Amino acid sequence: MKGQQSTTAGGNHEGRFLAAFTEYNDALFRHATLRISDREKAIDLVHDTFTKVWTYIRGGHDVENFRPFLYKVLNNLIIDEYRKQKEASLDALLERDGVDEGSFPELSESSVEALAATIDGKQAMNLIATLPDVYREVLILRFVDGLGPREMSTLIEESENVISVRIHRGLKLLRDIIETETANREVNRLKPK
Amino acid sequence: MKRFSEKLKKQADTIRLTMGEKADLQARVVSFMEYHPLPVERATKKSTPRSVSTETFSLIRIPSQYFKLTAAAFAFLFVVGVPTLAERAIPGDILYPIKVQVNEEIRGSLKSGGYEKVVWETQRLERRVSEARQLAQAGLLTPEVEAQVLEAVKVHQGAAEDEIATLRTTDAEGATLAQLTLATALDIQSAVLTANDTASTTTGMSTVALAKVLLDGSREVTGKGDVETVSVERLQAQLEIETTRSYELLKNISPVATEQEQKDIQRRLSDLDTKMKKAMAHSSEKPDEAKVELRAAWADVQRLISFMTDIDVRASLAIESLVPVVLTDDERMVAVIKLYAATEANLGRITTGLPELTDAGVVEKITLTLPRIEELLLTATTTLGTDVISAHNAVTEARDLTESLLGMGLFPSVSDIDVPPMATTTEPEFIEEIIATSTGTTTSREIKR
Repeated sequence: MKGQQSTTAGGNHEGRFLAAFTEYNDALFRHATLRISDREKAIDLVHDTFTKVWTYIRGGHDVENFRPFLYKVLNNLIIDEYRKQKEASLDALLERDGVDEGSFPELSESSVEALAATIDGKQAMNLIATLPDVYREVLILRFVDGLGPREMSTLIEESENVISVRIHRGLKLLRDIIETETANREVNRLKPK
Repeated sequence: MKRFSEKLKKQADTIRLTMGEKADLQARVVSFMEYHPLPVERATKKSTPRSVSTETFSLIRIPSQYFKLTAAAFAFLFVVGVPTLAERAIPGDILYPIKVQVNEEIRGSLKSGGYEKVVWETQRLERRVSEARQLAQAGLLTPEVEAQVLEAVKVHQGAAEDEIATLRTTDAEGATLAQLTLATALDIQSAVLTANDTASTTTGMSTVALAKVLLDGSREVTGKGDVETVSVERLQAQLEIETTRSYELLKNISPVATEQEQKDIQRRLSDLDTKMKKAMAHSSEKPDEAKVELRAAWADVQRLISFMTDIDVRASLAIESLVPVVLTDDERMVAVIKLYAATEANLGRITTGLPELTDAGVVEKITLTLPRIEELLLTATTTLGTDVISAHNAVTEARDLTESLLGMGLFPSVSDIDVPPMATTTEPEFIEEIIATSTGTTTSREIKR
């Protein structure tokens, strides 16, 4: 996802940029908060997102559609943030899991729906921070930010199939965590005091 | 699936920027934009403002700098402009409620201490009277408006008296002084209105009723004040504070006051110092007398302050009518000489013209009055060396009597008669002469010769 080099008498850049700020600041903040679990840092990342986009516009580019562009910039900043924290990179995570994300032809939208139907959304929200970011990212983009597979594909620069695999795996992992937690609570409840 | 995503979304939507965080973030981003503006060629390529379509709604473009400028202009207008303009408002103006209910209430809330509050309520009362005067000059003081002004005056007088009553519980002396201040203010405002009122009966121009209410209020408040409750020390201390304030006021008005006005005020301040010193000199032997003198000085200083601070007072009343000059002994001496000479000149005209008068009644009146005038002039000459005030009073009365007699018929002018020697004698010579004779038995007639 990239902006376009301005070739025409560029429109009202400031107005459009400020309108985008007004419309998306909350959504970007929510996304960043869920991704990095740090409110203050999330605000900084949203700020950096907008300043980078403004710098991009100053450089002579036009942004036709702000939403995917803003998410792209924010996502890159979040990845940079992870790197700063010396967490495992996405690639390393994927290698460790040993998953060929392109090899799940059975993963369709219907299978994701079926899996999601088995999870309580409210519980999932509380546990989403415990997921590895590679899953957290797609689940948030999909279910919180409401991005479609194509938009996510452009944003993450992966194929739509890979996105679907990650969503499926993320949901499965989430369900496992919920089930484990529920089982633990039940054991604790039945334990003689 | 739908249930999962809905619940997740609903839960996630609780994560939002607070208003403060949002405003702060916006300020940071806008600040970045201001420090990193678009290149000129991009900025100048701006198309005409248009609405920006989004998925859910449309935004009308308001450039942040315009918004800020507009907001700043409105803020300035409401915080500074409106209250300033309101200060000039008079009853009936759209901004008048702001003047009375906002500006004055805020100023009043900043006053600390009972005495300060009484002074402020007194000033508010003066402001109402000033407004009434302006309305009367414009012919707009209708009975309805006058009733409103009267009501407002009574409210401020009542508020001042309430403050005085409160003050009395903690500072009885201060309360009495505040009461005297209020009475003086009412008195002065009444005088101002009376001086300005041309006795017109034209509707909207007469302030007679208001002047009467103020005068009655002054008498009522004066009656409540008990100067005996104030100690000499407190009166002296408060007078020193007020005279110091007066000197500062004089300094402040010097750029706008005429040279004569400044001289007149300076003279009254000097008189006040003299009065205070005189009162304090005998305060231990005659404390009650000293109190009365200091109380008179207190009223004078209040009048003087009013003259300096209230443009209406300055425009309507002569300073001499507010605070008459207190002559020094030397000045009184000179005044006695001048009055004596004027009286002698009048007597010359009367005695020359008397044989020519045909009205027997007038002749008789004049004949009967002349000995009294001679007696007064004798008193003046005999007391001048020891009691210049008595001499001044006597010669003033003699001069007034001669002028009264001159009004009864046709008398020759001064140029037609022999001018008495006194009228041509130079003042220093005459003073020496008159003092020398006042200690002996020489009469005024002998002095003349």
